[in-house]
Amino acid sequence: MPKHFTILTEDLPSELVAIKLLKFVDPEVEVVNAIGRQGEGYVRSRLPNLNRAANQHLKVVALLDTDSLRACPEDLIADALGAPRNPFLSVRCPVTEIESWIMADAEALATFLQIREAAISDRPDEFEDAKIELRRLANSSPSVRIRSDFAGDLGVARPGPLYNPMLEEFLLNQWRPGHAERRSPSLARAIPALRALVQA
Amino acid sequence: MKISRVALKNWRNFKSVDVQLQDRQFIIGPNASGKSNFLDAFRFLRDIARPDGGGVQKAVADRGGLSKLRCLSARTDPEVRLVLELRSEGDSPDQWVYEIGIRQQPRGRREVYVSHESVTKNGDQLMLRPNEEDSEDDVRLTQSFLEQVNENRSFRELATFLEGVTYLHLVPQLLRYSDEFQGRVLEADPFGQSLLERIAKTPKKTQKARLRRIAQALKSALPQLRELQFEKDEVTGRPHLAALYDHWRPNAARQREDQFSDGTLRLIGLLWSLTEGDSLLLLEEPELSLNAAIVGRMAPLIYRMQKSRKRQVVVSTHSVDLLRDPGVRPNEVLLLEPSKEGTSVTPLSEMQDIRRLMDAGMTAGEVALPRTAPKQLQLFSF
Ligand SMILES: Nc1ncnc2c1ncn2[C@@H]1O[C@H](COP(=O)(O)OP(=O)(O)O)[C@@H](O)[C@H]1O
Ligand SMILES: [Mg+2]
Repeated sequence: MPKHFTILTEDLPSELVAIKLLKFVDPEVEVVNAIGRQGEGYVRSRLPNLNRAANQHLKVVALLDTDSLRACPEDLIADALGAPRNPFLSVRCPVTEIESWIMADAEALATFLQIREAAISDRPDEFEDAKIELRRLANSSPSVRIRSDFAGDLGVARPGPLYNPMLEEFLLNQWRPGHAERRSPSLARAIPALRALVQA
Repeated sequence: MKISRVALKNWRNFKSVDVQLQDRQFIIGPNASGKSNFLDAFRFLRDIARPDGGGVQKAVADRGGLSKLRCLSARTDPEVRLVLELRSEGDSPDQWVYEIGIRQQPRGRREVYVSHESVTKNGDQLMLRPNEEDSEDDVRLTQSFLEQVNENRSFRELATFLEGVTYLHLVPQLLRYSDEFQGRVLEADPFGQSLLERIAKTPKKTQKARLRRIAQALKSALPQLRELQFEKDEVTGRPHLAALYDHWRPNAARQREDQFSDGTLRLIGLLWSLTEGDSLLLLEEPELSLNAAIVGRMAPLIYRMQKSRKRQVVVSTHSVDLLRDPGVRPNEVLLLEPSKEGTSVTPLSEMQDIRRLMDAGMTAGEVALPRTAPKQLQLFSF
């Protein structure tokens, strides 16, 4: 039987992470609908609909950043669903955001940013603002391109002009879920949950 | 009349498709998946049916010859065939089927000829070709009966319907179609002066009624609009379209079409076309020339205009905004998906997961259009 999945994410990097995770737990999974790319508010607004739609033949995975170390993922999810969770839908929360999961494959990230692996924290889930940490790391790169196009000016919240496309390339070609799960507890919890959903 | 079903064989990039059509039908698909080609099938039949049109020969020649039309992935079968099923309006609707097959002589003068043509009405065959006379004089087969007033008497209603098919590309200066469309881009310039002339030619009473309907429908997009009027300029005598807007001033503000934004004028032209005639209206990517707010209202606008007088509308689109309207039903959207075996055409209602998502309140724009985007997912074939 085909293993069809629908995913709901806030942006393209998160979409790629979700697809990679699903392919990692089972290469036969096919993501047939990738919905989102319209920010976090959109993910929240559509979760109740997908919670209604999910079933054996239409399994749904949504990613929702916690955005804060104080937020409790369980409450966040219950709040967004507004109804009991459909067993064929899984909402996973990167703590605090997708960049935490991305930094968790420190070895690959070190290669990508041309920095020492030791410079990368082995507790990526503990950053209140994981994105700024990733940009800070990028800013320490010897590569001008990575500093200017990816990290951007650290004084403002806006990253470099090629932040998303470069991140996407990294995710596509270098990032490995199996390595990342060793350092990120929230990712380590997500993977068995996705595996269970694939087998449900 | 409405087209309830269309089947295409070896038509451009469609090797074989057979789909039902709704009164309001949206066509979506990636670039070069054949959205324009799909619309062109109806324009082709219209070109054949037009009394001044030059029939099959010209309709084929205008498109660069049969070798351009015939699907490249058609292997052994050399015939191009189009089938329409139509339903007339009214208490006892008639069911029509028109079918035409076209081929080219394999050698010699390589003439294009009608290899099959038939009409049935409520299951009765009114015409079937080649007939006996055709076999005695095969020059006859260079013309369809559809194009000949002497021959199409028994199915004149059908011919008239096809003749009335209207195609609107809202970017009139669009010349990106190469020579195969030469001279055809201007087939209907619905805007600017020609719109005004068409409005002017309409009898006063009808004209007023139509403008009232348009203003009514427009209220959802332009809430301050109170009335649309058609008037003659007192000095030049030129006809003008005027809009009355509710305004903070005691008297409603007046605006003439030379002050309308391009988008508003196009929209009015489009809505006017919906009130004109009752044949099929084809709209090519209307989002290209309208602003996003109006595009977001297009689907309900069309629906509303269809309420009193139903003109079937087929719209090709790329726009998430257009399909983000929650009232669009799964069977109102046809998804074109290219493959080596030619493009397939599938109503969203036949795609189980999409249908389920839409039944749960997701819109076609959200769930189906991502499928037409360049495939990020294909990168994951490991
Ligand atoms: N006879 C034919 N056989 C196969 N493909 C064709 C034929 N004629 C045109 N095409 C293909 O159709 C495509 C263009 O389709 P079009 O309707 O313009 O797409 P869209 O409007 O969806 O962008 C091109 O890729 C062209 O090669
Ligand atoms: Mg096109």
